Amino acid sequence: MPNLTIVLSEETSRRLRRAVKEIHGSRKGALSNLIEEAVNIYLDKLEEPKSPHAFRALREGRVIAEAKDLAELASKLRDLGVEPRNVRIVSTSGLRPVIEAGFRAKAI
Amino acid sequence: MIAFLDLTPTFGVAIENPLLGKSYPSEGEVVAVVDTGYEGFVALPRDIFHRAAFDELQLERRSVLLADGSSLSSEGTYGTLVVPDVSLKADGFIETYGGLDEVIIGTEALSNLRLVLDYCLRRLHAEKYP
Repeated sequence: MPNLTIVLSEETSRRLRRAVKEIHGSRKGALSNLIEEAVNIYLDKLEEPKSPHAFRALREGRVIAEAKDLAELASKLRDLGVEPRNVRIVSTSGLRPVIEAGFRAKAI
Repeated sequence: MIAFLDLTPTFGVAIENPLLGKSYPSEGEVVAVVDTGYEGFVALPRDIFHRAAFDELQLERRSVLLADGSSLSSEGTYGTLVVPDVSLKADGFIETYGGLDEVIIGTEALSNLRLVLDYCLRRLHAEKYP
């Protein structure tokens, strides 16, 4: 197995050693095991595919076109001869009915 | 341009309406404020929303809660945010509501980026998330 040299801050190093002791005690290789597990969790998260997302054009509640992005949806509507003003565009990930505005939004 | 203006983080952006082939501005970029308190994608003042022809499409409505506890009604549809400096082109809900006088980029749009705000050095670093 490759041997890596890494540098950690005092604080991280202290937290790491405390966690190793609590989880694995003072077993040989415990520090490496915990680091390998933590790095794999982080890498899995980075590599996790984002949920597939699509846009749909609806007319009278019926899907008439679907595409992975708006440019493709516009192109499909053109090909179908559908006027974009006459369809409802929705996202498969939905729209939150209520959201918070930041401090830049002002009451009127 | 990605930079602090005074203490406010800003991006140079363009907003596109691919369904009607319109964009704002028609050339170049407009300064947009990064607002991490806004949970939406992009919010536009009414005049910009109109100039990008979003108001010609069928609009969805929702509520926007303000910091003072009151709420506003928002309307919008789907469009494209372009941030040339980080080669970002992302689709999302583009809305407008009363009292807005600047283009706002919210956390939903920021979820496409790795963003570092260094207020000590007044430096802003953004890169597209892989």
